[in-house]
Amino acid sequence: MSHLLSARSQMGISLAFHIIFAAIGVSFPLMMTIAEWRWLRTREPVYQVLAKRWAKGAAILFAIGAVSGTVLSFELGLLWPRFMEKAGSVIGMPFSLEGFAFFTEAIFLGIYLFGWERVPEFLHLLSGVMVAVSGVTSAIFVTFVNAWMNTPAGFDLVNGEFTNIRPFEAMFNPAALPEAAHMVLAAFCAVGFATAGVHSLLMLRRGRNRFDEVAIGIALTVGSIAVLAQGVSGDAIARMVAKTQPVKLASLEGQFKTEVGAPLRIGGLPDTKLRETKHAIEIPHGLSLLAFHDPNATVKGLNDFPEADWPFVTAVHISFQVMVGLGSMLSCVALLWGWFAWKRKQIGDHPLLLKLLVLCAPLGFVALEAGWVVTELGRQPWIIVGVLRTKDAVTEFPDLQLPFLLVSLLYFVLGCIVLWLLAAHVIADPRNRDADAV
Amino acid sequence: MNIASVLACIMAAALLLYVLLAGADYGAGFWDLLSSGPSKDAQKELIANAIQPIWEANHVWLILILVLLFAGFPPAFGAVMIALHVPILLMLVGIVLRGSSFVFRAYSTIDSEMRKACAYVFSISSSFTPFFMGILIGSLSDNRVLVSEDVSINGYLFNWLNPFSVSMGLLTVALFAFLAASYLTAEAATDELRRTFRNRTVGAGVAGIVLTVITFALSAEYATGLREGFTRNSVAICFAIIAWLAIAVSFVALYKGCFQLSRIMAAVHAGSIVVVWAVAQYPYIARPQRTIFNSMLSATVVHDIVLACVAGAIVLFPSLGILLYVFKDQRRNKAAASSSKVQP
Repeated sequence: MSHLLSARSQMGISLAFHIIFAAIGVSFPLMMTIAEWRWLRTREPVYQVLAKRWAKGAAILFAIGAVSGTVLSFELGLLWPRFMEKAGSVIGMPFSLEGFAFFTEAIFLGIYLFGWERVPEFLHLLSGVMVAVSGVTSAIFVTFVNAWMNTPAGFDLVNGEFTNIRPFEAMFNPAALPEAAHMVLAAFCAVGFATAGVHSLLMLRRGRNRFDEVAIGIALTVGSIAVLAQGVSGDAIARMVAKTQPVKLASLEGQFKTEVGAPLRIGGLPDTKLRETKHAIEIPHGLSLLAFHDPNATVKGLNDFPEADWPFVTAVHISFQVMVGLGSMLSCVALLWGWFAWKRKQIGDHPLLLKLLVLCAPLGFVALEAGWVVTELGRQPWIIVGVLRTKDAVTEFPDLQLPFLLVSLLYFVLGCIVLWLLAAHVIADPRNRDADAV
Repeated sequence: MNIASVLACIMAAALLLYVLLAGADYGAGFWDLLSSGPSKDAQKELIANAIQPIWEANHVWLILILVLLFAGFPPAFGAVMIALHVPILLMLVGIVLRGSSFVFRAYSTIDSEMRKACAYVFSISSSFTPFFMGILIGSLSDNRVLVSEDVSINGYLFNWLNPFSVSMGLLTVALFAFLAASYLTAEAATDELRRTFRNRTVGAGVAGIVLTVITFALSAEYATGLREGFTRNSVAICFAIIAWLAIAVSFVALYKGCFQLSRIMAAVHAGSIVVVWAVAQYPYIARPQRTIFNSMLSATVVHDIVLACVAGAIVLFPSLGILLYVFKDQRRNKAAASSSKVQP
């Protein structure tokens, strides 16, 4: 394995691992706060038990998110010291603010966990709100950094050096808001559907009960609103990419030729040798319409760019299709759930829907990971688009294969243990004090 | 005071808080490894109650130092990350193993083998992580972090694997163990536990004193710059005296049974040592090349980062105050403590 590939793989594995726990840290607090709010409104004990249980789950997974996040912040320097040497000052601002937001989240999560019956009810709910808000805030700040790598701004480049740095302009770069909104919604969607799936499985195993029913209700509502809003945010991000990163747009759509009124491709396999995308269902003028809101807009194809500037087109295209496909599937489930809620039907009466939800449980996370593959692979071969190539940013440390193996092994073992614990505690043992108690 | 020094002070303050808060957590893990005798289970329980998973948040202090380093002094950050790749990676492995095994241990009550394995990983990683942190601090001080054209001139192993850095690593372990033991003595519920941890406080304290003397002796050969900074700076000397007084008072307080005072003095001792190092190291980040002055690319950026820190602190410290208040309240009430422990 080459030097550069080792570094990229290590970074990729660390990010893919961390993002799961980060997403949980962002969205679980909202769901637990909603549960507590329902408790304060209705005084039905089931909501309080649910809030406590979700809070515990959040705390446990949050700790793993915290340590894997610590590793990532160091890896930025360990693997890409030249990137950080150049860009550190420019993107230090969102990183520092992220640190404070994360800290606030951790502190209020502590108050939330240990504050039952110690703090007044209203303040306890407020601390839940603080956890939720600061979790989202920290996700937004850290996504701002990634957005900057896609659409760098806020500096002047003089002889390869960054001068006249304007940290706030860098922070609010063109991709910042669309990317952050997309990421936060993705987290709500992934965690909402995963939680609903787990509670559906529990309900299938231990029979109809109020506890799982309200849990599914809250989780699915959060996930559904997020996935439907994701449609709007996806449109915003697509137009931003079309404007600022034409190579990325062409790769994710498998668009080789520059075309007036380009079609939207569903599925298909880009062939970079023949320079065409085969087996796709093509919707005429679709891409031009979606990316530029004009059916006859010109979409630049990959052929107009030097091949050295292309990302790994096949992987980017497939990941994009996976993300959009899963997003659309979950949107259908969301609409179905909306209809259920509208008709005031009880989900416990419909085992088929419960089974569908179980199948949907991992899909949000798969879409989330696929989305990050699109963003990160789609940015290659640049680490800062148009400014610094990834191969020029990698460390000179000689034996990168060793750290890569070490980190992979570590995350592999941790991943297995997390799955095993979840399986042992949640799925294999459906007898549950909480559910019996209410 | 110029803006680079202000930022350096903020970083030193974050390091101080990291040592006082996370250091005690690491030390508790170290004692978990060494817990023995008839009260072994009681010792482990006291330790488990003393650290809560939420305190993984303590790592934010470490992340903050790192972020301020690359935002404010990027060339120094690059040099450190290149030259000290190996010990940093080992420290990170320790941080991950420690955090996750703590959570897994709390989670896996049904399988005792699994629980035992996790407990073991937790206490081992709690002990070797501070060792590599100390090595890191030692390496920054000992004139070997030399980077040219993004390549470490002194190689990637022997620029940190030397007697001085290793002795700094051991000193850090001893210091964290001392902190934790004195905190635990104050929190112990029974006389037997209190006696055990009192003896351990003294043991770790004495080990710390011996290691301090050895480290200082080794600095004559390995870290001349740091030694010079220490011996010529009156602030460093002042804090060194405070550190010695604090540890002495802490011993006397232990003997007299004033455990709260002993705990406070242990914190003062550890804090003073951090201040002594920071003052002696000033203005260097990584000796002998990188100072805060030759690594600051833009004073405007550093200025903005300092403002961001001030804004962050305004939110952070009151919140931290509320948390500590709730925590203390919770400890006072044992019933509440047992009901809010992390359970599966």
